[in-house]
Amino acid sequence: MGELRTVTQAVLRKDAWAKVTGQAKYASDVAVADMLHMKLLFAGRPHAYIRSIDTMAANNAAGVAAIFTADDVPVNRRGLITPDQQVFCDKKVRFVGDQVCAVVADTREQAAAAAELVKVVYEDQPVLDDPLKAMVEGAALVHNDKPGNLCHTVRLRRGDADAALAQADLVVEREYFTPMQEHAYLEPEAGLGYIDEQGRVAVRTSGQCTHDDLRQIAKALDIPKDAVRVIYGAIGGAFGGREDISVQIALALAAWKLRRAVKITWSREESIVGHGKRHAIIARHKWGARRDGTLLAAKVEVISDAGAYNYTSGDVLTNFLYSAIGAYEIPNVSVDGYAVHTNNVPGGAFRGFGSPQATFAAELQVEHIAEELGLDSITIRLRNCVRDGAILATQSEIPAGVSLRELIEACAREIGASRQQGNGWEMPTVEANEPHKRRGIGIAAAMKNTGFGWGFPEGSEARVALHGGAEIDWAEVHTAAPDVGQGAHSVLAQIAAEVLNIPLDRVRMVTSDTADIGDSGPASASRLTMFAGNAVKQAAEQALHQWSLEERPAVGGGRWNAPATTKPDPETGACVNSISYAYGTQAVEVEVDLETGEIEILNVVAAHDAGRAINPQQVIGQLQGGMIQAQGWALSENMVSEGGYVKTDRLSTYLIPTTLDVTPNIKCVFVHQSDPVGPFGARGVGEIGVVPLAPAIVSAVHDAVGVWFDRIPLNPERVIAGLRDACN
Amino acid sequence: MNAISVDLMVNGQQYCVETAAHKTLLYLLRDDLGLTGAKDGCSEGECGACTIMLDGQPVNACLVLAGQAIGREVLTIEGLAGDDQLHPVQRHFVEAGAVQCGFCGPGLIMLSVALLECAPEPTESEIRQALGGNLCRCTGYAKIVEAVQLAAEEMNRG
Amino acid sequence: MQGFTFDSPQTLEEACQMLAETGGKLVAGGTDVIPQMRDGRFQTGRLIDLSRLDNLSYVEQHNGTIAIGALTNYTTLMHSPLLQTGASVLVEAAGLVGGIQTRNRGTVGGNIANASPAGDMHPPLLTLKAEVTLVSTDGERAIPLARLLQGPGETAVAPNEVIRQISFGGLPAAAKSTFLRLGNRRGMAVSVVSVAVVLQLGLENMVEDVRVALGAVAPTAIRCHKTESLLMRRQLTDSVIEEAANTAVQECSPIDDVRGSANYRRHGVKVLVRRGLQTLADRR
Repeated sequence: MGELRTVTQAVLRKDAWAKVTGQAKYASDVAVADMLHMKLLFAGRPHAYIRSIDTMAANNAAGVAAIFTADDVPVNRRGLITPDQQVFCDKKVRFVGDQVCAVVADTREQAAAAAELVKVVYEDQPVLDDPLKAMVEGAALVHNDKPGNLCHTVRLRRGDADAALAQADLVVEREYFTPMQEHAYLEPEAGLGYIDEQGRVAVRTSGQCTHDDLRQIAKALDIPKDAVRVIYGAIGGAFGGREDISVQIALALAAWKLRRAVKITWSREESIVGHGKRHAIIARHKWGARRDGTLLAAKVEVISDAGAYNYTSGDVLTNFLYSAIGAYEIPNVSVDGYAVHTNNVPGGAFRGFGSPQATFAAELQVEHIAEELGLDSITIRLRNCVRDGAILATQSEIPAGVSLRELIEACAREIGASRQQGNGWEMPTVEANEPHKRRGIGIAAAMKNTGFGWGFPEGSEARVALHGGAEIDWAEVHTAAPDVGQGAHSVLAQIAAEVLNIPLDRVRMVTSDTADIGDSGPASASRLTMFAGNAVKQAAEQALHQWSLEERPAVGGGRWNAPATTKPDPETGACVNSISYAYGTQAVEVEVDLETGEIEILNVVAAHDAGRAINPQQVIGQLQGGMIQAQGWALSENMVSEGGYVKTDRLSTYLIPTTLDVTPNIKCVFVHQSDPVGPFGARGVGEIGVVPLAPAIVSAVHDAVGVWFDRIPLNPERVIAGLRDACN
Repeated sequence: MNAISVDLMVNGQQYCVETAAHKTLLYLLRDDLGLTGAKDGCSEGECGACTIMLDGQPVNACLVLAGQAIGREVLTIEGLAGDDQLHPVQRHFVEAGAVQCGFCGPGLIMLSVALLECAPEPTESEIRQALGGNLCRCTGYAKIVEAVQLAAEEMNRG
Repeated sequence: MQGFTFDSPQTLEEACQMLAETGGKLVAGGTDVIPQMRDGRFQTGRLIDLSRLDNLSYVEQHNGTIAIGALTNYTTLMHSPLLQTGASVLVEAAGLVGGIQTRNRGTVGGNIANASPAGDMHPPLLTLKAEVTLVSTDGERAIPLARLLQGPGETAVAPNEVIRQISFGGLPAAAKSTFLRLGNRRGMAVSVVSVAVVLQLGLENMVEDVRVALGAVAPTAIRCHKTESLLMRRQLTDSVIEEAANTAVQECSPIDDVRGSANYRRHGVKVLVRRGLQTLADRR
């Protein structure tokens, strides 16, 4: 391939100007004259039967236009994967954020005041807030139409783990706990429902997939898909939290029934309680190794707190089939996974989709094994990590182009480790300057699949129209792909410009409107650069061909279909689970205050493979952002839920990192191994940044203070308790 | 609902707005004046997405009552630069890649402008210190701090 | 949120008049009151805005007494040369409250009236033995801050009173002070434990004066009188510091909450009191 003009260049994002001038319109910025305002009434309690809902007083309140309950919804079901949730609850509420009804009034305040007047009589039920207790036979049921609280189970068997463990020189058996995490995107959920010029029920909102939202709206209202329209504008972050329904169906219903525009904006508290979280996971690991550090077997049991509803619990759990053992090739693997319903806020999608949790446990297993065998952290990883030709736990060969070894070495060298004569690596020792502090270094390696995989037929649609006479004056790129902040629209424009061989400023993006273009698939699974990117590339190539045939405007487009993956065998989990992976290794230097338990991050090195990055600046941005989300998850973010009630529903109690918490010393180093599927060789890097840092921090803390932690967050209190326990 | 009459100057223009007594300046700007650049991320002064200048001082608009802005001067992101221009801070946010979802952008930009007005040559540490009251979930802050440093350098070159 | 009225008295007398007539909720910087209003935390619908009372923002000294107007915001406090020399512990604490935006609005009077058990200004003000002046249509009275703070969100401020001023004797040059706190994050966080120490040492590290106050570990911020008694006129050695730190732990009564457990808070008191005394002892 010749020199690339636009892709791989650090071009500026197209949407940045509008964002820095305040002109970009996020969902809550959109207003129309005469619009009504909606307030959603949440259950506010974790588990109860609904005995009655009396809306009379509320209906008579000032300014109220309508109140919608379950009876008003033609098909009162929703759920991205499994429709196990109601649009409005009428029989039972199962978590505090369950939606009971929608109040629509002239002003926001009137809607809120009227919502207070809705009288719901509840009969409280025993609350299940612990998946271990909820799994037990005879436990109270979250869903009465099910025999128990098991939401999903998965199973994988490769080789014979029990036999291999019996033969192993060393067996390490431990349990790990990773908590819920809140996305805390800065833009709370909001939207405007209205009837558009063509008479469609339209919703302008912030989400992750216009067509998924459309499908769910059409189903609930029992109207044809082409009678619905979903549009996204500027979106204030997503990270998986906007993958499923929040306000979309309620808005569509209200607009459809009232034939008027209806707006809603959630408060931060509603947002934190109202959307799914990163799954809290209990992981029980039993690994066997040879004396030389070769990993022989891994037996893993994963218990996932699915919360009240499925959301994406089954899919997250399924991902553990490959991710539970981390980025390693292990010949004998057994994985049993259980997603369990409780009355906690549901687990949903969150950047990494189970990989951060899986990697946390796997990386610490590797560290424990290394420690017992007297091996260093680098050698054991290099010995076992995936490489070209490796067979995954799913018994399929890893897609070619695995750069993990180079990444581990690059990261190690950058943090100051050095290859020793003979064998082994020496990790640097670091000294604190004060007597009550200790410093340590830790490292972790990871991989993350791109795309859904597991046999799901995947692809993305796009259309490109070329305008001009002799020359292409401008190109229009149509895609539903949402830019949730990751820079997708700029990347797609770059791809088009490259294929069409025109300057970037001649590319216009027409985006995220279901009335204009077909399904791009969601902004999730690190997939848009690859899937939407390939769709745009294909459409541009087709349009160019039409251009050469003198068609004006020349149009190309359609669906790009991803190479197929296969479904996991229900017994063995065997399948071709993914077409592409991202790889990364991160190392961190921490300083621990022995007296207060405070941990400070001093230094981070991240070695990543973005393939042939379309927009290197945005890649770095994604990785930096991901790392800090991982830091927050590991240290300061503490989602406190007691008896199903969320205690930390504000940004003043759920603490994400500020500038004062983040070290200025973050270094990214890159290896560029082209991805065979990605457009121009690009890899999906949306998620990998958030995957390795948490276990690296735990390792670093151990290096500093000699104490192993098996759970996060390592807030000061937990660190002190750990130090104290170690002394006793 | 009890109404109050709020006379104030916003981005150099005088306004007189009839609005509810309990309304905050943030919602006066967003609802009554259609200036949606300042955002509501938390309604409790924890995220800084609503940062504007009130009589030249950066404040959280969600924590100012509309009535408290009577007779005062407000500068929002929309008023920072001329029609087709960008303030150096805005431009460097764009060029340094400090804009991802951008929701935190207006608030951080206003705060950074205020910082550079009273500390034209801040060290990196001083920048981080000054921006500690604003949250960003996308960028990890590195490129934001870089953007402010570059803006400071440009502005000092004069 | 319906049914609120908004009034901006132009003078303190006007404000007192309004309170006397109908009662109401005083709003100054709004950093506590506005979120509470959103939460529906108070009964009255009458908002009385004090932000026009410019003459209540000042930092002055008369005959060795420093007086701070109730409407002085944190930014002004931080930049006051008078406070930097005569009450640096207060300046230190003020700099840790929230971010620049909240420091530009939050007022010392508001912080006192809000009476959060974790209010960062309270321990320093207690070590300064601050007095609070209240005015109403009935007249004026002064009450030590220690007596004014009565419980979480509770003060001895009567419904018709306005806090006008906070005053205290400026610290002598020989006195050193420090403010320390623990939080769950470095940036903007409500303190899990906070400690203010004022210490004056004479020959051979003899304690001539000491005040120790704690925040976030009791229903209000508290002075540690037992700890202070233990320290007075003793030579400040490591073991005496240790004794003092242990005694301070006994004087606090923390609870478990979403930010931390009582156990960790007690641990934090011990560490911070020890550190505070150690730091000041080393500072010559």
